[in-house]
Amino acid sequence: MSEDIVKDETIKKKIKKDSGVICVGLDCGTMHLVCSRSDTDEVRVTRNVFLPIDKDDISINKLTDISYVKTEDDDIFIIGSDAFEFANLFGQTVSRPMERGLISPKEISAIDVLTLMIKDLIGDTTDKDVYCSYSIPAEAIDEARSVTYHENVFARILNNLGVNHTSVNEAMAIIYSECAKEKFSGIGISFGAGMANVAISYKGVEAHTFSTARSGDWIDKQVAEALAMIPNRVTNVKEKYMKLTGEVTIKNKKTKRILEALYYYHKALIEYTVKKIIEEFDEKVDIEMDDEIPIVISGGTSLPEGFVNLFKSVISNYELPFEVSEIRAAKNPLTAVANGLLIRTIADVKGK
Amino acid sequence: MKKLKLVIKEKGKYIQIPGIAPFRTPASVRINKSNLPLVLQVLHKCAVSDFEIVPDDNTEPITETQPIKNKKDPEINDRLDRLESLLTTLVSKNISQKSNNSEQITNRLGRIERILKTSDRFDLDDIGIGKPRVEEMEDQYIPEIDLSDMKLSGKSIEVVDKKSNKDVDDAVDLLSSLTRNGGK
Repeated sequence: MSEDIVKDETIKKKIKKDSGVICVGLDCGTMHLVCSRSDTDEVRVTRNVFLPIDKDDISINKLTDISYVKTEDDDIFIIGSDAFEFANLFGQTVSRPMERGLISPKEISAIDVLTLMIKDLIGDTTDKDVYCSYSIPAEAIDEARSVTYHENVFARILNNLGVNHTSVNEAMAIIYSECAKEKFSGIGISFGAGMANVAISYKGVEAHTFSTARSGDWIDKQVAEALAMIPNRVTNVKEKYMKLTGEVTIKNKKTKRILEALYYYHKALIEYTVKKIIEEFDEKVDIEMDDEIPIVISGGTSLPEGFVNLFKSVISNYELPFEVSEIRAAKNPLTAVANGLLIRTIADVKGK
Repeated sequence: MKKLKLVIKEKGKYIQIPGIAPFRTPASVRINKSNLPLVLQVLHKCAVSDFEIVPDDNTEPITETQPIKNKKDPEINDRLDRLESLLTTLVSKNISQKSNNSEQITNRLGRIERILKTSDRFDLDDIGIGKPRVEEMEDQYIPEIDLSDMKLSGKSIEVVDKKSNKDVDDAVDLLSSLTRNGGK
């Protein structure tokens, strides 16, 4: 099978469009794995987390309706949202194959579990040629971690599943998904769990990409440290009650404190990212952009109500080195990257 | 101090032993005998069972990453040696001629400085020497994937959105045409 696998640029030469081909966009995020396929309008998602449990602690019979992976040695890993719920229930911390936007060196032994999750997510591809673009972050400008290893792990996983693959920058995928009306010119920002990824694109050409190691997890960690609690609890409150409109309607005093802290750290995150965009644009972007360009915001961390307005409010305090036509959220911040990757895959495959 | 060598063959573990730079297995690392209990404790914590601790006769610590570096060094060192010898010749020529033309000497020294700055910026990847080898080694650190003894039960997948296939097709056509025409 491995001989049939086609990597990177060779995808473009491999085939013409035909019914035996499936194109896939696979968003490999720290918190979610999202898949968009060319042969269905459904966009599928699973939580990129798992929880190893001791076989003596729980009986298989009790795992009805729970998603889990079981090995021959009876090791059990609860996967997806169920892992998160179980961990919250028992006050444990879930294991995450990815950490701060990249494959985690601590959890690399779980690569088999991750492979099974991706296989399940992509779904049935029997007797089909499958071509996939998968997301990778840009190199971080504030942290010395290489994306090469991360990229190679996912390449190996897709190789193992018999999928032809190429890696595509995550923020560029937002441009492909959301900026067709601007002929793929714009700034795409993906506020993921692990990293904030930024792509500056001009007419579909990547002018500059970079990432910072501050995003959703950074917020959770800062809040958890400030209020002396576990990050899981903060994430839980954030996902259930967070609104960035400035008003806190919750009565529970402890939850209210978490929400207030979350607001301040969201604002700090946006301030930091905007400053970095300005610095990077000034120093690294050579293209003269005469036209106004949109800023498109996406990623799970941008999901709370009011995020885009908070972004607009923060950025209005800065003098920008480019003209902005509009600041808007992606149509679906959770699925934009996967859809953009699908567009890129089909364009690569179809154009040959 | 008595030196030992820790050899871990198991792939894909990330080991952090206090006093030793973190490394990824497979690896061969020099350790102190006095550190042995701590090393064993860390290995136990990381669930590493396939390892050996043997006497170390080498004077230099050994790690998996060093051979890669050493393999690259001769080529780059040869270049730097040649550059050094060229610079020595230029400088000695200047001295022997005892030129009084200070402007000429300043210009030459300026050129030499630029050459030296260029050599500082040598990047193996830029000149295409090391890259394939590095990727090869990166790949070696990734454990083999074996799903034969694993079974997934239940459904962890949710459908969260329905995309518009027409929007996708339109975007694909536009992207293809922009790519074909170089962004025009």
